[in-house]
Amino acid sequence: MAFGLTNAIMLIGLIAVAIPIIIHLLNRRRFDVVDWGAMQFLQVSEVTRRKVFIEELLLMLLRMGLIAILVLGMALPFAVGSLFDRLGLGDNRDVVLVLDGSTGMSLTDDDNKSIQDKAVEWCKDLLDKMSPGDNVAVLQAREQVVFVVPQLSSDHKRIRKELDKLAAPRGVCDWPQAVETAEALLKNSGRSRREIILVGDGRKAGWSDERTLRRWELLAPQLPQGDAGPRLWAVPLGRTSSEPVPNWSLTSLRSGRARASTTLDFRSTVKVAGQKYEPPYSMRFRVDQIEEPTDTSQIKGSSLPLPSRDDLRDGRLPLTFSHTFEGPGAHLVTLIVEPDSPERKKDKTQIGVPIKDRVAGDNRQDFAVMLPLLPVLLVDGLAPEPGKYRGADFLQVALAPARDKSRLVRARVVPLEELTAALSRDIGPEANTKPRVVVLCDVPRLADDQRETLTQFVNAGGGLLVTHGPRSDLTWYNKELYRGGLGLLPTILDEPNGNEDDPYPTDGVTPDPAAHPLPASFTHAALDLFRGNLSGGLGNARFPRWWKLARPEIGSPSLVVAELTTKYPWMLEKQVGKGRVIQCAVAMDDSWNTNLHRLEVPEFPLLAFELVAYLAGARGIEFNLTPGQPLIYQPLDDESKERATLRPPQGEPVELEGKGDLFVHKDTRLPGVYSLTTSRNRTIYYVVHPDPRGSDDFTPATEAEREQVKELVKLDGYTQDVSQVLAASRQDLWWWLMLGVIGLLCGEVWLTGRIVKGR
Amino acid sequence: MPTASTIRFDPTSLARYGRLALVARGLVEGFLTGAHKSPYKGYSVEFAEHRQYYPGDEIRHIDWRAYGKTDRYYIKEYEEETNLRAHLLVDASGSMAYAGKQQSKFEYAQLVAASLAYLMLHQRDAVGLGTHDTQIRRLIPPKATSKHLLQVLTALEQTQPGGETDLAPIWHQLASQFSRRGMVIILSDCFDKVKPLLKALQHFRYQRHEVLLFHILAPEEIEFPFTKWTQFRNLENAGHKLLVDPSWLRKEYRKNFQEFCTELRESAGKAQVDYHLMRTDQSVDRALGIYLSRRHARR
Repeated sequence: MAFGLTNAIMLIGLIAVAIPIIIHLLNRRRFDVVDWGAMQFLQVSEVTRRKVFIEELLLMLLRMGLIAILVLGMALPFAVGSLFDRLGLGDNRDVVLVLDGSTGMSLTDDDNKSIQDKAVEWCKDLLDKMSPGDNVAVLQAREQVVFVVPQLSSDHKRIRKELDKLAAPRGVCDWPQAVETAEALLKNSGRSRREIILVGDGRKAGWSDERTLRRWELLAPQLPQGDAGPRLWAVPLGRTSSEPVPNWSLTSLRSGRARASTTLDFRSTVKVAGQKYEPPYSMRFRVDQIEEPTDTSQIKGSSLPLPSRDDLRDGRLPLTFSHTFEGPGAHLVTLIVEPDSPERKKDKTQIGVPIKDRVAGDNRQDFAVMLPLLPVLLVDGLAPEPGKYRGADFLQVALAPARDKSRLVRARVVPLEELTAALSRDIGPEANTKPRVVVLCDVPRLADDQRETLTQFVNAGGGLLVTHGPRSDLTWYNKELYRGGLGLLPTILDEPNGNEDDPYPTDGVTPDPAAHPLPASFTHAALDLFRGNLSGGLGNARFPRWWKLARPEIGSPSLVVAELTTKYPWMLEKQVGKGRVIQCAVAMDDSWNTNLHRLEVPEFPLLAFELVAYLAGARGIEFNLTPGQPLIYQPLDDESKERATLRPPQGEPVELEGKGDLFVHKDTRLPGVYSLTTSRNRTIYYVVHPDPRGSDDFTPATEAEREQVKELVKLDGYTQDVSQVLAASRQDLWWWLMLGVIGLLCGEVWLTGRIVKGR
Repeated sequence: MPTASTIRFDPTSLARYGRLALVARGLVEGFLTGAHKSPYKGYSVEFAEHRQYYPGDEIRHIDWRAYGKTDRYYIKEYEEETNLRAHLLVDASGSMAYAGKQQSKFEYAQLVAASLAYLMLHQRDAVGLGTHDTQIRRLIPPKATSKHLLQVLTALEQTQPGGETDLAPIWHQLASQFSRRGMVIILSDCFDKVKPLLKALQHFRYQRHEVLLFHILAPEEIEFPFTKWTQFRNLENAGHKLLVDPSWLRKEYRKNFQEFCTELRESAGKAQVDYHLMRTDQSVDRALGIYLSRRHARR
């Protein structure tokens, strides 16, 4: 039985114990003086004197005791031990159960029980032995803490149900963050018996590795010091052996961003540990299937070729595959490796056939793919001439080649006079293909109403690419579209420069008088793909004649996207309302002998796509997230902006409410696949990727390492014994002391009354 | 020289209680014919008894009427009426200086003594005065002249209380000095041991004096109303102080004091001393008036 104080600072109040003595002494100092004759009657008997002395002493001691016990009670004393529980006088407690949610918890033993299964059993055993009024909250320690039972609750039945539905362990866990969260949960608890119980796999990784030790060190001062804080127990249920664990795992599945086409390349790595390599039972990927069918015969997916032993490098097998999606939209790609056959997984006791994988939580990786459909309206400054490529046709071919059925861009060329009408029409056969980007291809000038319509389009979030060529009317652009910086144009046109007839020097000595893009200046997000002077890159583009564009002043809303070798801007950008405008110093066609459309610049289609994609805002939303990163969806034109349903990896679907033009869901702590269903029943996939380091190291923490953590965060101990955790609970003593105060108060009143009555 | 007017008493206030007089209950030996019975029987106006005739008696005192009826000679005897010799003994010890919220006990005793002196001189009794603490300070023999009142009042005026109390020896000494029987009126708080006091009172009685004991007390001494811590400084001994919490002393004090008063009263009663308690919060004329009325009724 040990004792402590939750609020030891209150002991300063013990000074108040001296108050009765001080009052007594003050009374003795402040007395009346009476010249008295009947002195002989003041001589009381020794018995009376002793009696009075004892009464006065008792009264003073009683008052001092009263103050002392009151102060002691306010210091919230507690006792540690099981005596009160044995006597049936124990208080209720508040307990926060923190379960490890890292991949290591999926480690199974021969009886097919994972550590998470054992952890849940342990927690249920604890619930069995707790008192009915005890409150429990349950957290799962992952990269971001997951609230399983977010508030302290005495509904043990519900807690059991939530434990049964615990999400599968994946990734790493951040124990210090989980302890901090648990402590915050208990901060408002009025009970002195507060426990944080950390149920984990006992691995070094995430508990006592160098990085986590530093985090423990940083956390320790934040936690309540001394006996004021909750008691902290660690329950390591994992293996104690440091032998390597047979394991196959997949690193995160990755892919490049979809660029113009619906075919994507994917890459991942298979890590093989704790065994000699033998090909896995199966390795496959699925598309647009979240749940694994329970019937193995129903498993669909494209099998990947099983890697050979020669592919193994340092226990790693690089894995790449590509897939062509049926069309634009959201897709989910799931990669699964199955090292052991289903029969072998069921019966791990088979002799002679070693188990390849004891950790099931890292055999699947998901990747969300969004192939946006980009409707682009190309406004040609020239009248169309059937059968001849000219003007905007080059850009249309670059963006949406007619033979490519998997194209993501829908592009249409319209003459200038149709601009206003075309803005309100779908460009492709599909719905939601109203123009998101307009390209003015060397348009001489716009009518006033066209300018107004275009301004409204950009202000509402549309993208505008303005290319200048021989037909651009300098005066009109500067006056009507730049408008002293208030218009759509990022900068003013200065003058055309260079000679379109200048030949390309072939002697290798004469400098080329024409302008070229300067890849070193490609710092803008729209051009990051082309950064660096790569062979065959945009640096090969040649502009014999080009418009001098004025460099924007400092503080101007415009910024340079890319420069020419002549040090003049090639492209500039300006944000207008919700939309963006990019102004280009050359026309993206064959005018002025520009070579953009020729084979010398194979990057031109990609450049056109990147610019269009940037202006359409297609790159703004992420679909592959890290835990805690908000999930965002921008509904299409025909979709409701008020309601959408999100199905998280665990738990019930969530109804999302639109905020402005967006749906935002911030609770993405749990790794896995989130699917959002729009009002038009379109499914958008989001994948919160777990940290693959969760599969790296299953070595248990050594005794010394455990002790180190114990010292740092003042752990009460490591144990697997439920009774030990419960027995060592703290017992609040303040209310016992308050009873004592009431008792002493009654005693004081009685004694005072007796003395007064006796006088 | 102080005059009687400096003592703040109003003799006329006593008139409210009727024609009062301090009348001796027993016999007093006076030197003038007065209102009190003399122990000497003679041939005065008030018949007392008959006695047998002896040769040598004056023939004119023979009751011839009785001779006619009995054929024997009887002499008629008459009681002699004489004036009273009263001694006012005023305790001037330190304890009498206690005042409380009212006048001091000594001042009160002064007024009572002055009133009685006036009263008795008015009825042609002889009044003397003795003041004392541990020793006799002033002793004025009884006289019945009208100028004597001024002398008594002046002596009272000039007396200041002080010094320790040791009443019994003084009273013994005075009892020895007062040879002629009369009245002894003691004005004191009697803060001394009861037994020696009783013996002294008995000594007065032995000398055949009628003794009136006016026990003068302040109400604070009776009730002990103090609540705060108090330092009691002995009026009779400057170095003697006692710091006490009166609340825990009260009960014991009251008990002691009550016992003292009861013992004194009972002892006085047994010694045929007329005991009368006077509180300084009562007006002198009222207290004295009530006492004299009661005494007159008992006569």
